[in-house]
Amino acid sequence: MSAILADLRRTLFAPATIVTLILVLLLAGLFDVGSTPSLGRPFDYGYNSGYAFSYEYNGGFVFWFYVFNGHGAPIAGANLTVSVPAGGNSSSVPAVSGSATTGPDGRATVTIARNDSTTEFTIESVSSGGTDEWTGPVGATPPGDVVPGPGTLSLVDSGPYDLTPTMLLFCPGPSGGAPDGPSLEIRANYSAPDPREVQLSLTPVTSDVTTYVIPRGELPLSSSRIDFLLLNRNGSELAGMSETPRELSVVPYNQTFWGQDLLEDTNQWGFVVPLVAIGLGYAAYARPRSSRSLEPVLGLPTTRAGVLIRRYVSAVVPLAVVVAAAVVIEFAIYGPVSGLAPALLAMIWAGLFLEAVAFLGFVFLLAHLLRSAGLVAVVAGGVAGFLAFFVSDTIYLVAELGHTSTPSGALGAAPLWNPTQLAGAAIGEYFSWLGSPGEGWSGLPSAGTLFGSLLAVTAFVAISAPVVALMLARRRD
Amino acid sequence: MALEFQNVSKRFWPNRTPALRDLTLKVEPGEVLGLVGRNGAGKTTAIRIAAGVSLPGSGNVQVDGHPLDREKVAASRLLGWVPEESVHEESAKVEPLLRYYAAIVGDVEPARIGELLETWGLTQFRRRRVRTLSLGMRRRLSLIASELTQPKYLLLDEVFNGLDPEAVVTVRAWVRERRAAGCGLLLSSHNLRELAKFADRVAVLHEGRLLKVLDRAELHERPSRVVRVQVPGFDEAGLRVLERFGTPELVPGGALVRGEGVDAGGIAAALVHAGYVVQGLTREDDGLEELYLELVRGAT
Repeated sequence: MSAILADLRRTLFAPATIVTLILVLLLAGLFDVGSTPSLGRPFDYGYNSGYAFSYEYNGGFVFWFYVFNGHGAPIAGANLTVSVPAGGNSSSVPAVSGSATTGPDGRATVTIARNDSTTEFTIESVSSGGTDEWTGPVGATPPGDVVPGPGTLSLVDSGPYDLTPTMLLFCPGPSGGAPDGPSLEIRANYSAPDPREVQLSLTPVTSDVTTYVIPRGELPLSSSRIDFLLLNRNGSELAGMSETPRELSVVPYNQTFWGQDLLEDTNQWGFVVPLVAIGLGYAAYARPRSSRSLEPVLGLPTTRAGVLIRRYVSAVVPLAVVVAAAVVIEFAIYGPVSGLAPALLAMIWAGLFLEAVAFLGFVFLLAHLLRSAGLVAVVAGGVAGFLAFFVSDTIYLVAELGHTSTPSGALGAAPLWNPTQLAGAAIGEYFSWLGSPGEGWSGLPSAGTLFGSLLAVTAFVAISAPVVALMLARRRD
Repeated sequence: MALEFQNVSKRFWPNRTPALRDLTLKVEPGEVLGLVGRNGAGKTTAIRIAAGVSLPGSGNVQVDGHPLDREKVAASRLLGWVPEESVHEESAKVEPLLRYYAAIVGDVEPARIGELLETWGLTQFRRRRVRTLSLGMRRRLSLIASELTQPKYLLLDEVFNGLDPEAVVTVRAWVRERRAAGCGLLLSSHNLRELAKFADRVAVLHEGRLLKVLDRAELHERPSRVVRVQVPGFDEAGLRVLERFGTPELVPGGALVRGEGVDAGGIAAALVHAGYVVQGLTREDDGLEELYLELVRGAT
């Protein structure tokens, strides 16, 4: 036990460890971690307003709000204010306002006692995700008619590198109750001059908040526009929204801009965490091995396997702490803490940790194959950079799991745990994906296949690399 | 009970150069066994394999019956290794590094490190980083590390290289003290004369092969090849007296007599008989180098 603690202390205070941690902090600053966190996206996408409202007029106005994060999960504690200036139809009416705070379900109701038939309303939402303000006309309608406002249809989990764009629909019924028979239609329009349109789905809306995973694989390759239409029970349009396939798809690797855009768009932790693993592996094993400072230890009453295992543990323990700290920082500062269960946070930690351990094992293995510790670091860092910048990595596994607010829902939504998915043709799908970037939907593997394959590969490397390194350590100098 | 090399062979990648070929050797407790050979003869490889730092290609090393390949921990508890080069972690500080080694060893009394630092004169350098130490101080650090296990066998690789004269004297005294305490020492050097001062036996290695193990008699009782005679006012007449013992040569303060098995006792008697005052008679050459060269020439 004292030997393990001694190795842990040695690795923690090794110059390479300290340099790595400083480098990681600098990189985190360069990446502006949190500006576009890969999990818990703030409200800086045009098609993600962050809140939705509908209203009903019955002599006064009743506004029903739903405030949500980048995954569509509810945000509690958001302050909503509705303001109406003086005047309007009745010039003598003074300015009025009302406000409310969202509960754990992300919902709030604001009542404005004013009977103008039409006037400008200003609505402000202040939440952990940011501040949004909308000003527009709100008119008197027949009692019982619920008018959808901005945000009724909102894309969530979309944008650069997101793999499963989802449409969130907020559609309360009369008096804020259950929806009164509306449905959501998704239509695809072919590129000009092809005039065809095709209905992809028509789904009854039964709950005030519903999410629809967009069936990307079913969309026509040449579709130029996707329409999302909220229809009432008579089939007339209540609200609509259009998107292009490109905006709904993954940004292809070769369409990512270099420089700042690349840094901001990529998965920061997916790169930073492997860097920490590489730094710790370098400090714990690669550097001592290449500089021969491991030799005095091998000459002591210990075995080669014992030395390797202790050094491995001495890197794994701080790695676990660093990954946990990264997740805590990401979520405490930028993420939608209110929308994710602790179990999901644990899964996110586990995904990053698995990735980090795979890189650590890789470094230990390389240390036995390459003489120079510097070369080990360069090769491992190159692989980490390639995976982080050009290939979605395991953090998206947990991002996928983060689509729903409960672990069971996440597991149900993501087919990652199906062994047949894990054994899927990852390489073939991946290259077909690379081979047809940006051409629509067809080249994209399913998120489950991609993530499952990556998970399988990562787990394989995480387990096999240190085992092979151990075998080499016992058989070769 | 001994430190035994059992048919140990080793080749190095990538050109598969044989570094050791079927080495069989035994170091008894209380014995100093020298390992001599030119650069690349396999001395360091043999010591590194015995220390468990390098793996043999075939064969094994046993330490008091503990095979190094299967009972490494038990075997290494009986061993202490002093490498030729300092391979300690350069960024580490002296005392913390020794405490780290002690933690790996496992049963080192906390006060022992302080005692060893004091013994080897490193107390005032205990907070210094290894990279700031001189070669001699690094060697002392290695010596301290080798003593953490209180070893029964010591593996000393070119331990006198690069040391100042004072340190050489200190290490020599330590080697003698360890031998007197019953410790078996395997001591490598390319200097046979230096080894002969300590060693009970010397193993001659050449291109990885053990040529011969020289015993005490061969090391210390070889006939003289050169005898220096110190006689004030020595002259040509004196040289003629010495001619029957070898080939004499007049030098300041006396003469040198060269030849196979020069009879020093006979020289002294003859000179006294001839009326010379003999102040000194020393063997200039013990024949070790010539013996070594003969062995190597025979092998090649």
